[in-house]
Amino acid sequence: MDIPVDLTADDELIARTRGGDSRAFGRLVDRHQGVVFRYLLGMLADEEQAADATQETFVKAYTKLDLFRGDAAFRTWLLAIARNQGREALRRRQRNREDRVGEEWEQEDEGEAVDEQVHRSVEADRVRRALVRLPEKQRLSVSLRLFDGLSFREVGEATGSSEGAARVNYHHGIRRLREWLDDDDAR
Amino acid sequence: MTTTRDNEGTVRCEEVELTLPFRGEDALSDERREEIRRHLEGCSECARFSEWLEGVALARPEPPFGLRARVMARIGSGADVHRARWSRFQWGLPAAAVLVLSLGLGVVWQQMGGPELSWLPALDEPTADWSGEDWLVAGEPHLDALPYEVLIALLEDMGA
Repeated sequence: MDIPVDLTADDELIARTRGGDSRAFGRLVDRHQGVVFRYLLGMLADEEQAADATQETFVKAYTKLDLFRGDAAFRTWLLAIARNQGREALRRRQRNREDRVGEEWEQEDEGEAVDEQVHRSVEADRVRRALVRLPEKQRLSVSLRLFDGLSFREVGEATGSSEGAARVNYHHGIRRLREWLDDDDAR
Repeated sequence: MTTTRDNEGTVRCEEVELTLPFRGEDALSDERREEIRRHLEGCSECARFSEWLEGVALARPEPPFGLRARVMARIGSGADVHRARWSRFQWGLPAAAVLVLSLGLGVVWQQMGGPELSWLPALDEPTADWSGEDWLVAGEPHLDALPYEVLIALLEDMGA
């Protein structure tokens, strides 16, 4: 009986990719592009730059797949590559003196909430704008934990911190987020 | 958030705040999770916090449509170029080794006073004349002539 590819373990997809099956790598992209994108969004606070860096992360992962030894989870290895891509993007930004932080997340025109879908979109926008205001490590800890379900140990690995520091960053980030969003509600 | 205890007095609100949402590999026993769930049933503040977290989680950003296609297009074209170039170098290296060894022996032979070998270039001739259009010297990269971007790609392939 064939096993649906989506349920195939990362190890199996990696082995298939190494065997020349690029579609298997496409499945890996499907599975992990979300967490990589959100991680880079946490670093760069710019959706376009995060998308570009996500693309570079996967291309790099594909070309360096032979170097993945399987000691850690594939996701952990990907996020390490993503972190380097993010740093490179930040360096480029600094060199170019771009000032695009938050630009992609600015709300153009709130208008009137005419239905639930619009209301949810407006709320999501509020949350994202509040996230941008957090310091990077708090933003990353909250994002990885809340949006992608990483444990504090994994958050620590991804952010180059200890598990304890990841908990503290998450705790402070969540508290600030709640204060800002509650303040918005109170106005 | 105030400190309150559930009926069994074992869970504090601060702990709930740090634990929620439950996530896969956190070192929490089933018993502890159950205690926290019971706390949520009895503490309206923590229950509100839990609902608030669920609402925030709905704001999860998603990658733009088409990102996967862009990655696969790159893999199908540009990314493989680096592999192909390095493969050429790998095949050229044994040939280059033989040539270098022959040259070295030839030089030593001449220095020892052996008859001039017509195929051996004069020692003061610049090696740049040997370089091919792809900056390879007898299958080995002639690094001085490499454009910067190609040099960086080569170093990356070599794992530098």
